[in-house]
Amino acid sequence: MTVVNDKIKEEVREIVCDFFAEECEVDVEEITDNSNIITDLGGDSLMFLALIEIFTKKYDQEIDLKTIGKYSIKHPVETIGELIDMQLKIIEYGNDIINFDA
Amino acid sequence: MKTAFIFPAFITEYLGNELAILEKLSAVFPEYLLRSSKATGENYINFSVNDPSFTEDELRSQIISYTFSCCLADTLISKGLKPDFLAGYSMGLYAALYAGKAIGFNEGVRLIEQAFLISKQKISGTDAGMGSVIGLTTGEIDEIIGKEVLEVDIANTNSKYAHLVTGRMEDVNRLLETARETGALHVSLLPVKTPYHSRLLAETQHEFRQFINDKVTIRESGYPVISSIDQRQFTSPEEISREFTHNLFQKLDWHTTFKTMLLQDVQHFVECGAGKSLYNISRFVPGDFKVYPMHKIQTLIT
Repeated sequence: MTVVNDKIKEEVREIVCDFFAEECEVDVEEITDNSNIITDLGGDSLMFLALIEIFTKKYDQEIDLKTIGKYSIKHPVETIGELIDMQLKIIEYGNDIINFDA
Repeated sequence: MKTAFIFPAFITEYLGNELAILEKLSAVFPEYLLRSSKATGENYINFSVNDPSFTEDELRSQIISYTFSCCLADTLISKGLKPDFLAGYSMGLYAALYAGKAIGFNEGVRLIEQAFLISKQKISGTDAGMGSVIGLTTGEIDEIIGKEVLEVDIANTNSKYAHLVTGRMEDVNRLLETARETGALHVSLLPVKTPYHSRLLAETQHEFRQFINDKVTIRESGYPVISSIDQRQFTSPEEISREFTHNLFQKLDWHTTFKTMLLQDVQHFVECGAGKSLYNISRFVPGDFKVYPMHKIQTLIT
C-alpha cells in the first residue's frame, strides 16, 4: 500500500490533464474535475487504458486490469475528477482496490 | 527510415473537418465522390460527415471510407510522399491495394459491394454483429467463449488488452456482458450487422474468389503489403486474391502487423483515411515511431 501524499495527488492530476489535453487536442486550462471525458473532451476507453499503463509504469505497480474493471462497475468513471480519484485509489491500494467499497 | 501507409476500415468517428483538411491538401475529393457515385449508381456527391445516411449505413460507410482513403493516398503520392509498405485494417485492405495500383478505383468499389452482398447472403436469417472488449487478453476472452460455448470469434487484436469480437448477435451480447462481469474495463456493441472476420463467413470464400477471378483484374502491387492476417509480405496478384478472400472470415492481428512494420524500420505511419482510429490504437505499441492521422499529414509534405 502506497501513502498518497499531496505531491502524488498533484502529479496524478497533472499527468491526467496533460494526457487529455494532448490526446483530445484541447487547452489544458479548459479541463476541470467536472469535464466529462467522452462528451466534453471527446475521449474514449482506449485513453483510459493508456493512462492506466502510464501510471502502472510510473509507480512500478503490477495491476491486474480485471480488478480495475470490476471496481469500475460499482464506481463508473465519467469525469476527470472521478478518473483522478480512481487512479489515486489504484496507486494507494493496488489490486486491493477491489475490496475498497467507499 | 521508412514510411507505411495504413488504411482504416469503415469510420465510426469522424474528426468533423475531414473535407476542409482534404481541401487544404489540394485533394479533389468531390471528383472521388463522383467516381464512387458512378461506380455504385448511388449518390455520394452530397456526402457530409454529419449525414447518417452515409455514416450509419454499413455498406455506404465502407464506400465512403474507401473513397476518403483513395483520395488521400493519391494526393500524398502525387506530392512525393511514397510508402515503403501498405497495410489495411480490415476492410481498409481494398484502399491499400488501390494505393498499390493492384486494383482500379471501380474494382475496389465492386469488391467492397460484393464482399458485403455475399456476406449478407451467407448469414441470411442470422442476427449477427461485432463488439469491442477493452481490458481483457486474448486468452481471457477465449476462456469466456469456451466456457459459455459461444459462436463468437476474436475478429481483431488491436493491442494486448483491446480486441474486437464477432459472431452471432446473441452470443456477442452474452460475451460482452460476461466480459464486463469478468473485469473488462469497457465493452461496446459496434454499429455493424455483418460478422466480419468470423467463422460464420467462412463459406464466402469460394463465391468471392469466383467473383474476383471472373470480374476483377488484379495486378502486382507497386508497394509491398503486410498482411493483417499472418503478417506476411506480398505483392503478387495470387497473394492479393487470397488476402481478399481470407480477409472476410479470418481473424486479424493488427497489433502484430504494426509491430512487423516497425521491425522493417518503419518510423512514419500515415493513416490514409478519415478519423484517427489507427492512431488511437497505436498508443499501445512500444517503439520509436509516429502515426500521422489525417489532420497531421500536412506536416509531412510541407
